Amino acid sequence: MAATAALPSASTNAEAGPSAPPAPSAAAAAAVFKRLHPASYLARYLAEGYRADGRKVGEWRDVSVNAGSVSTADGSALVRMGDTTMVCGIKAEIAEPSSAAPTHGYIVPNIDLPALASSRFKPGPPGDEAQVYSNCLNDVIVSSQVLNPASLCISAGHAVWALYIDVVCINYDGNAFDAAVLAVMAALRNTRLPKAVYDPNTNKTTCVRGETYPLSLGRTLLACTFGIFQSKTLLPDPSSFETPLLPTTITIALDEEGTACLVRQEGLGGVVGKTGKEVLGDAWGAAEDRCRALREVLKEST
Amino acid sequence: MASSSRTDGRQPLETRAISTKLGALSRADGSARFSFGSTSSLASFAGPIEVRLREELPDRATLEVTHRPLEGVGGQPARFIEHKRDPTPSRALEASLISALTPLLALSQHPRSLVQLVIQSLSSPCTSYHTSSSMADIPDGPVSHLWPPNTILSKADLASPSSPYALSFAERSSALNAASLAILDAGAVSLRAVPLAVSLAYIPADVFVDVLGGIEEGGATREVQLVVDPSAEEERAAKSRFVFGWAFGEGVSTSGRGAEQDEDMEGEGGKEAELVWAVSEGSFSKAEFDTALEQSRVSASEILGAVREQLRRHISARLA
Repeated sequence: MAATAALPSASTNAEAGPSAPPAPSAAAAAAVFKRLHPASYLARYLAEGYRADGRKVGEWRDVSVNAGSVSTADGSALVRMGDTTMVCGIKAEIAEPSSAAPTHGYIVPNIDLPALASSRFKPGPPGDEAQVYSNCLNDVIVSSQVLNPASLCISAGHAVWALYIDVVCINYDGNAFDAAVLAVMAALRNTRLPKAVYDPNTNKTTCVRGETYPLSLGRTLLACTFGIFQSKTLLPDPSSFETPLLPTTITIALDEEGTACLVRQEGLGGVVGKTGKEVLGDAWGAAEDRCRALREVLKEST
Repeated sequence: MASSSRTDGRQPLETRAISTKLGALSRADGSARFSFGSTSSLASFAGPIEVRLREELPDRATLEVTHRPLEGVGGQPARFIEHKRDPTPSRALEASLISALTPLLALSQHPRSLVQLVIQSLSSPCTSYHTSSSMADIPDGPVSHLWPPNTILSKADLASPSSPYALSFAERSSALNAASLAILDAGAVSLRAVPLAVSLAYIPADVFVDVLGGIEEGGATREVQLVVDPSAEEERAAKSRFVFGWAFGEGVSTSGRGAEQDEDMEGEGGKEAELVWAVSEGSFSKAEFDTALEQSRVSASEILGAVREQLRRHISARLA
């Protein structure tokens, strides 16, 4: 059934008679409309050139990064993108390398979207969304060579660092992936590992307290996510209200030289008047601008 | 004049031999097996069938996609370290297929029911992501026993590594193709457009010539070589990898220019197409991405031609 609704008119209620309930205020009527017909609600806003949270159509939310806030972690960062808040903590352990790669350390990223972040997420084992984000984050970190695993080698064949990168969502308002990537990049820059010495005689590794060194990082990538609404509008940085209304998402991640690390599109592309390829081109241009701004924020925080 | 060719004798823009087999599973409403050479997937389609109450949607059918890799338990492939939580590439592929198929299937014609796709991968994932033998990696001479190492590490490889858990790009494209054919084989839920995917990769030119034994045209100075449907070895050596899924059908493109664009295309000339899935990783420029995108559309059209031919034979054999 088509879902085009009219706002419940305040005047008809007032004329209904002395036993009728009081006329709903405009704000209450708008909230009901938003809840019952979210697509029409958003379409009305977009027709005026704005989005439901007051942003202009092509606008991104404000970002703030706070690095080093978790003192018990070897590296950490707190990122706020609008109301979406992600905390990334990096812990390092010493592990034995696998025989297939004796000089390589381990990098284990994980994104958690716990129930406390939003009513969308149920408590229990990680849901599909968290698993998909974790997988995507893992793929992009490995394939973009953000951190060379060989740089984590303490003693070839005997001891290597294993970095556990845990990103937890504290508050979810859409676009968790972009915030997670930014948090990971900030936390990696913030990470300092102690000097480690492997003794071949005792087969033990000892760390020297007080002497810490940063990681030798490769490319720094930053991600930008968009959604396409009803094959009409490309919306950057979707909020949690908009996300279920966007059947197509596009994610573009660029490094400091503007070379792409990741381009993903899930869903039917193209908007009225433009092919999917052209929309991707527009998104790429917008992503370049956004990544430049994000890089400034990242530089200031670390 | 020698032209570029790959280890298996293919041209760079040539896919491996495509083979399809429909209707092999007698208990499923529809089934199909799709292969790019030795990389293949088997998909089964059931629907519209009874749906679980909590997943029931009042105005459309619920679409459920499950993918199983060849090795590992329920989407968790073999690991070499005990992780607290594993990345699950099958979950990501399922989400991508749901996003790609939802706008194309006529789900609103079957409310309060379930449409179920199960895809079984029939090829081994890339089990080793190192090109050289393992123990030889330990350098001769004094071995460092401390971190951080004093030696400066050599520049990163030209090739972009891939996670050992990840499904290969050829495997992902064969999964979408098998699903698409299974839907066509069943014929129970109509498709607005037929989605077909193909994988591509950019291989550094010197690697292409030296390691993979490719033969380059004399005098060509390209930094990277684009290949279509890379083999496992080519994917490992690649600088960037891509999968593109195109949906072919009338009216699928919203640009209003769909029919005009295809006038000069051969083969499936005149078929409108729109991008429905894109995954890419590694290191690539916008120009490289656009070239790969254009080439993928051409290759996907060729696959559509091959698929239609095999479908025609299958259906006339069934009717005979």
